[in-house]
Amino acid sequence: MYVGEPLFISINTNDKNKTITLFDSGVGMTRQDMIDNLGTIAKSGTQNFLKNMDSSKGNTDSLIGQFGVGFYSCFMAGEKIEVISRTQDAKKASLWVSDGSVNITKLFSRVNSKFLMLKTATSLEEPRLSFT
Amino acid sequence: MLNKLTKPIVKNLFKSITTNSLMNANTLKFYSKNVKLNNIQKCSFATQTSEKPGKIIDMPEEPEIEVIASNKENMGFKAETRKLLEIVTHSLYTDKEIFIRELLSNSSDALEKQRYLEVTGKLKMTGIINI
Repeated sequence: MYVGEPLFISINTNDKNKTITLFDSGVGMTRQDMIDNLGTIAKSGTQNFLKNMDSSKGNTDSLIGQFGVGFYSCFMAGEKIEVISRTQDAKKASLWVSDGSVNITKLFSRVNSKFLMLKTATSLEEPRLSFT
Repeated sequence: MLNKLTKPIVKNLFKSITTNSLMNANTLKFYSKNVKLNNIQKCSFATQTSEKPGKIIDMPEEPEIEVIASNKENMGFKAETRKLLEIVTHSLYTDKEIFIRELLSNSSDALEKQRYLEVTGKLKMTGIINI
């Protein structure tokens, strides 16, 4: 969650660090969400969300996630995956790191939201693709 | 099928088997379980040597063939996470570049969830409205 911003997604690459950063101002995850959804293969957070969703108020067709495996495809391209996320009411963000080859390493540390902003600020420097 | 295996049917079956003289066994046994009555109709037939052919005897004991259901236990599937991750990352997708699409899908879902929670009043509005 990036308070004060409209809903947007940005993709940025960094040649020097050889990283690709994907950022979204979506609902965000808590530390527990990360443990539950990133640490469990084939557990779809979206399907969980759909169960609790009132279909009269939202379009259920617009949600894509189904099988809970898509995220892991980034291990094909990246050696190390970092997920930093924060929910709207959370003051601190959480970090999830994994190298994917040996084991799913779950290093959870409470990250200050300033760190999250710093991290994302680099990706926000570029003219970003945003849609409301 | 099994519960329809009534005495007359079994009798005829036995007759046809014994009359074409392919039978070498002394006794041919049929077990038939009547599902509706939840009991086991036990019938056995004797061959010509000992008893009258086609005679149906109610068996005094439970048949030997019986499903032992006392050790029934429901077992869930277990998976080795490391192996599963390898399959997911290396076999599920053919192109490396797919991960961008997958991550975009996840982001899109995150936005959709945010929008839904804003609309339903569960989260406060974050978007800036310029008029």
